[in-house]
Amino acid sequence: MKYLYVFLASLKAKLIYRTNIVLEYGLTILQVGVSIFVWEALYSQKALVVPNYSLEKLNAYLFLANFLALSFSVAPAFRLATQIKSGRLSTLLERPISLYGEHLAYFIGDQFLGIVINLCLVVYFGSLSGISVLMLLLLVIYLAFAGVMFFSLMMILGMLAFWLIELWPLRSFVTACYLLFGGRYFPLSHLPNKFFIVIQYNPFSLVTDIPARFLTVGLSGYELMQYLIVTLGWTFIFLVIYRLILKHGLRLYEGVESI
Amino acid sequence: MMRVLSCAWDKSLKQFMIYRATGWLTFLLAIIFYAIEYVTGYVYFSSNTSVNGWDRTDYLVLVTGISVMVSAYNFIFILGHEELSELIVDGGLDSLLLKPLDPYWSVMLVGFDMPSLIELVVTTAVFIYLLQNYTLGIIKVFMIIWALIMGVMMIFLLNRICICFNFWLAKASSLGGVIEDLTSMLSRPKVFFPTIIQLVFTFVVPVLTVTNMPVEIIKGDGSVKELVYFSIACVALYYLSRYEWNQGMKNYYSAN
Repeated sequence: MKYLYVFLASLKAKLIYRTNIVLEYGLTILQVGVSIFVWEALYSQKALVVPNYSLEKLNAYLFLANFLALSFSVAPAFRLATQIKSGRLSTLLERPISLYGEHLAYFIGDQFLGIVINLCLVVYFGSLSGISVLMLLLLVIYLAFAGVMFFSLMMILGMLAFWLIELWPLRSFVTACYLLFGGRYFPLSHLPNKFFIVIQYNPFSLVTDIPARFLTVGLSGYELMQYLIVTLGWTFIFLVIYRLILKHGLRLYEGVESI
Repeated sequence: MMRVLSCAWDKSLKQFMIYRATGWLTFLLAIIFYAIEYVTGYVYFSSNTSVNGWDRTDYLVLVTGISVMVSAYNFIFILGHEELSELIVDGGLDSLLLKPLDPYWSVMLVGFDMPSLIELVVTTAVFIYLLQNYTLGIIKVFMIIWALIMGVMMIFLLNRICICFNFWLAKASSLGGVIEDLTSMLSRPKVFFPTIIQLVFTFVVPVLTVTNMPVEIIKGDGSVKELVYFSIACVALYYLSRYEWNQGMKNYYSAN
């Protein structure tokens, strides 16, 4: 019940302070545009062509990858990091509410708009590619699990604030990883095969590259189940690491604003 | 002023020496960003043909030049700007305003970011190494250095203008990262973009000029005239940013 209140409060806050929404969506559209322009230049001069991807499919892929990245956002990491740095984590720790649960409820409320938009995109591109309703449902379930996995990873990254003094390098690092491994610059399958075999299972690509590939080039149900199992594996690992790091971090934590 | 600056330098150096592990972690995180841009350049130009007049070395010089400018900005200005964002929103600017220093600049005295200094050294070394591929006269070298310095100032001014929007907008937390995101997105050759985007980001928000000017000079497409226009734009933006700061001061409510 208490988590429902957190969810509603965060949803309300998101809708009231609309500047952030405008900025976020504006920047995402620009990022999509930039990636598409670069690839159009490369395609038109025949300098580089991604196998299996026509220009329209590539554009659809980049559009999807970037918009999925918008709702699987890195914001929880920084919200937690700011709470740790400012000492406001103490108030949260004293309450009869799980830290993970509070942040998850806040995250869902914050991203509710993005989640709705992404579901519409999934339906639209799914029907465009002629994918059956059952497979689309499977994709939605996959996305739900991938979301929880990604959120757990963000919580772990946020807890680096127990050790880091400045937070802005975290932003650079996470953005860069997301751009490369999340397939937001180019489809991950374009990397040389020996890299791709290992990298395709990293958490960033599981969240954006896989669904985008599913909706453009297509994946078999068997492959999707494979990725789903890897996702569950990551979620389990992240939850274990989360508990460990929280315990160690709280030992260092002073509860007052540092530096 | 010099004494205050050397005090800030001492403090930053000591802080880096004390928290060595986090300092190096910071450097690592920042350099990974640059490395990923470099790798992406290799992917885009993996067939090593020229696209719209740009080949792989040009693109890598572009990415490295931007890294040099961004790490120089980070080294000098980023700690001050992070602090300024928080102070404006929390209403804590009083400590700045009461000192006998110009508050517009004195916020920079929070400190210098040492890991960015290391990144600056590394990226400058790579930049100079890549420049071996081009023939440059002494005039061009001066033009490049001037373009890099103007680029850093422009990044500073654009960030300051964005942060000062916090005087009027409530809870616009993404404002701090807008220019950083724009710079990384627009670190692509200008000719790849459609004309309207080129126009907007050259004349309205000159991020594209900042990212592309050094490479244009290196390739021989940049003229002294463009550099002069760019410098004039910098000065004009400085006065705009001062004006915005003064207006913001009128709007400012102290929390004390």
